[in-house]
Amino acid sequence: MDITTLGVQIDKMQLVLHDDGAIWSRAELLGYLNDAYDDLLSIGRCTTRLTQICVPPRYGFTFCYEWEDAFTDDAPSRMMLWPALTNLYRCTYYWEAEFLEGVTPTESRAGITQDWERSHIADADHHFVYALPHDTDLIRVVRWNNKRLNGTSVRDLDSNDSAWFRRVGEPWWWTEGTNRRGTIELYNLRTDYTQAYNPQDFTEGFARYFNGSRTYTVDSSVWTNDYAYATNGDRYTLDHAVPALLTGLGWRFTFASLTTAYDSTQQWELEQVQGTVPTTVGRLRGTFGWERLFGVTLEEFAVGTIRGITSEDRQYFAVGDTTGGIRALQSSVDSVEILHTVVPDVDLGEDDEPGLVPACAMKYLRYGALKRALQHPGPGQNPKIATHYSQREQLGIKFLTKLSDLGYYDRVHVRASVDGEDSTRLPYARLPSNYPSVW
Amino acid sequence: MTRQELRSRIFDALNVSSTSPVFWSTEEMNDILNEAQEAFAEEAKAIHRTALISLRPGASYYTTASIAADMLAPIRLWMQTTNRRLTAVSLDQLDRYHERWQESSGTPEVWCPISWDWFAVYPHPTVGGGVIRLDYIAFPRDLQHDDDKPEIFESDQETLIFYGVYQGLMKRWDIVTALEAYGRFVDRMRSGVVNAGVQVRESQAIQQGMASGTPYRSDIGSRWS
Repeated sequence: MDITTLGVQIDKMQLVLHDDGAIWSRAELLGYLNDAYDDLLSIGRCTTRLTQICVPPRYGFTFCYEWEDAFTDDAPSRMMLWPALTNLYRCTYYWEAEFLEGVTPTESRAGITQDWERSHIADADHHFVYALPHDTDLIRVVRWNNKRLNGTSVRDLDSNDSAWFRRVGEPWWWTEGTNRRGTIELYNLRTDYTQAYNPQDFTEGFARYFNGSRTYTVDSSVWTNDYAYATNGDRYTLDHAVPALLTGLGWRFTFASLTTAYDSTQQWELEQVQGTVPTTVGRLRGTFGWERLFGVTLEEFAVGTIRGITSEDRQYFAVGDTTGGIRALQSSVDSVEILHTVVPDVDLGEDDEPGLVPACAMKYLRYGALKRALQHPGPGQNPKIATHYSQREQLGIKFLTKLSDLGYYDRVHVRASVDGEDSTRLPYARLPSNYPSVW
Repeated sequence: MTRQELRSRIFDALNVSSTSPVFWSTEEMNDILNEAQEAFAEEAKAIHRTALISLRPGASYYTTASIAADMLAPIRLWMQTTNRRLTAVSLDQLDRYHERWQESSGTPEVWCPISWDWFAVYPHPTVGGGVIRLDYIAFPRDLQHDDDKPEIFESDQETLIFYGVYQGLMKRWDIVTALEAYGRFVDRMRSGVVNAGVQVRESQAIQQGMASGTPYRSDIGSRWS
């Protein structure tokens, strides 16, 4: 069966409940569906996503006071400054806390307000923190530059190294760290800049090309233009005419000189009029794609937003936003890569589809919601039927958990050897709950 | 049985007119039959399909949605260019085998599930081309019209009737009788699992043996076991 909107599921539930909103409103049923959706994903842990984070980490927002966090939207955010003097002030340096308390300040390391600043200073007291997306639930794997890191605790790190959170080098460990939930730290630190392809100034439109040191070519299905023009005057007229004089893809076939009023059709002409010795050789140039039949070099028009990047060496993933645009194209190379299970970070509406679960899970969502509706005290309450729907929901969660291991049916399952060393940790001794504590 | 026959049998069992049911609409019962097929397929793994994956340069990860929207789980990945079955390994196995496995390039030898909707192959090819044949357990397609028949064995189709009766009784809030019908559905589903097991047993017979290097000439068997 196809995946459907939650509104369609509410229609089906109302048929079973024999209620058109008199007892259970649509909003109430929608809430139950969202709760069931949360349960499927958080208990079943069936859906894993890959998040690649640039080094140094980017945040959607950083803030100084707790109340600001209420306005940071759903982007990864971090409180960068430290509270001091009964939470009244915010500090960038450790010595500021001493100063505020009236104590003679001692020397402290550099203070930063953004983690990217670590790329430009040798040492700082701030932990180097990677913020995870809001939908992160359980971290399965953390890698840096394709290498899997071992998870450890802050207590273990503190026991072994007095400055682990400042030490720069090859990352080997990851830890939940000392920050808020939804952040991790890597140890040792890599603070050098290795950012992904990130379309700049995206608020002014989609990116049309890249820059940087890597070699790339563009493959576009658009092979010709709709019209051609020659001068700035043409462009001005075409841009400002209302209604538009020409529509479609225009292409300026001349090179505009930055120092003179001349336009050129050849690169060497441009060099000539700008007063430099021509270094390029002329070539046959046309104004339209069909002229390639006569030996003209075809122009490549990379029109529209960048849909993806392919490489022989690595796979690039598009990092989107809620409006469907691609905001970055990132690979695992030189970046922090986190495999994590996800839960929905926003409640779905009636027109939304629960895209994090397979289509077969729609019925389990419905059973979970029916369970909640029939458990609800008041008219329509029916614990027996609710119990049955609860059992079916639990079966669905187990099924999705099994489904999350796609290789289950293709693997050779054998019993473990009884001769092998038992790697299971021996259980700790458990004392009775009324055993006196000794500190 | 056709969809119409299945629907009539369900309405008869519910003691309502099959031509003009009052308590359930025809569309509602069609929907329940589709759900019954799905519930059966989840347990019995009775629906099998095949899809082809074109290898892309540099790509380690593939989403099942980009291969087949009806995929439940792969049961066999076959590398067409090398005539070799890709071994299913876990992510932990892969990480233990090669610390930087994502950097290795070559013809894929193993595959690794990541989530219900995507998996990885290792190593990844550097150039595009080459085909992986993917055999998978699928969800059944919806029944399209009244003469359409379910894909599952004829002997298992009564299971769908029990499920339809169960759902019909659930709508009546007749939980006691509904649970009896559900029990019959579960019992018959076990028979469906056995029927589908004919294929499962066959696939087990061609899986790699325990002896090192068999049945493949390479040593992949010993490396990944």
